[in-house]
Amino acid sequence: MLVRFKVNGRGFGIDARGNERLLDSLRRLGMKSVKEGCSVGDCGSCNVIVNGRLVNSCMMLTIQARGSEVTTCEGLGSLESLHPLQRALADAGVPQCGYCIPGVLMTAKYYLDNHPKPRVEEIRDILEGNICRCGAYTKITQAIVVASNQSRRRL
Amino acid sequence: MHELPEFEVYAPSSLGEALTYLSGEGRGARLLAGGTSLIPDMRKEGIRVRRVVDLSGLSNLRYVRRTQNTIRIGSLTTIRELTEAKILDDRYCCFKRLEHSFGFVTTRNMATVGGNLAAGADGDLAVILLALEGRAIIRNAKGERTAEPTNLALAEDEVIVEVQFADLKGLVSTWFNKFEKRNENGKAGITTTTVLKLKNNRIVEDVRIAVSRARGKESGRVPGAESELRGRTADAESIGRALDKVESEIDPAGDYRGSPRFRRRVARAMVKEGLAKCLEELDHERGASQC
Repeated sequence: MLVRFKVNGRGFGIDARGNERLLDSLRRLGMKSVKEGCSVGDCGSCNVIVNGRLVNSCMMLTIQARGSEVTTCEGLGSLESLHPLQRALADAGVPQCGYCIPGVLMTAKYYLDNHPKPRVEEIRDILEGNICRCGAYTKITQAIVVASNQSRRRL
Repeated sequence: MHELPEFEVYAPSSLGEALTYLSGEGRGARLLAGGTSLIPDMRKEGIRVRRVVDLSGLSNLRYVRRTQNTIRIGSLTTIRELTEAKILDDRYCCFKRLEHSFGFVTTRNMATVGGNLAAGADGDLAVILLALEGRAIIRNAKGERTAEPTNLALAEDEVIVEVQFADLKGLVSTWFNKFEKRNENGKAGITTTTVLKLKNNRIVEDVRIAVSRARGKESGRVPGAESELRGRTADAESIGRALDKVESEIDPAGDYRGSPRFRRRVARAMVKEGLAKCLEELDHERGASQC
């Protein structure tokens, strides 16, 4: 069936099978930042923002995203102009294997959108939903704090 | 891990359409609300499904409202919407606690009240509603019925549309506790909900204690423990007797996550904390809630 939704501000119509997950459709549309990890909502590698809500795209059928506004990592910034979160993670040397990073970025963006003055404990709490096999949590947390400080300075 | 089976999805635009479909050509279809139970079940357990009804578009079933003295929660309300509902004030710490104990933020953004109830009688919402003496409203194409939250007995053409409970009045507080071995998103070893209502002089006017796996795998109230407190002063002595009753009265089933003895001890500790938190909340001035 034809499902229409927006991804990073651009409209798409996709012919999706009934059992097609949003994760599969986004990757078909070229959003390769969206990664499949555990497939059951435990690891956060596939996290995207749908209508302002952080969701696991592995547990959402494409049809459930009909008419929605989806944001993936591709919508955060570009190579020429990185989003403050991307810049902070790169500057801190966070990515090792890098597989979890797009999911971490979407979690961090969702968190900072809703909590402009984050506390370190809260950042650690919210990262429980993102599994990083390289164990880079300390650097990830520091980078999110740096990004939030930069955002506040700009305000 | 299994592949998702091939299935057709029907996306009704109204509850009426969904009920008509379920009573006719869609008989036997599985309901999909938040997806946090059905999708993992299909992946982990290999459940075969031919038809799925996507209820997520029925936005008129997403609400938390008070009608006279009854709180009504639409079945498609997400856990996040529930924890943020303004109507559920400091007296309803039991719901606010889900912010800390119900899965990850993604799970709370996706999972729904109706979906959690339908997923099993030992789910978090079932144990909370048991203590709040709530009920589920269930509909099919022919009509409506009410059911206990722990005994829904859903037929294949039925949909949970709402949960209701009497609004709490007076000096009352509630608390929800959950023990799980994983930090988040695990299966609960045991959960408890405590509702405590005091008279002005710290005499217990009413108390309700609900425990998952109170009898085998069934959730239930602990009437013996409640009667140790009702009408008495809420002090260390009466609470101690009530906790002894909790431990002796429940008979939880054991599994790899905990033996019956372990679960009894954990339930005791969680009810102890629940009562202490309720008393603490009642000592706070309005607006200074810790939940």
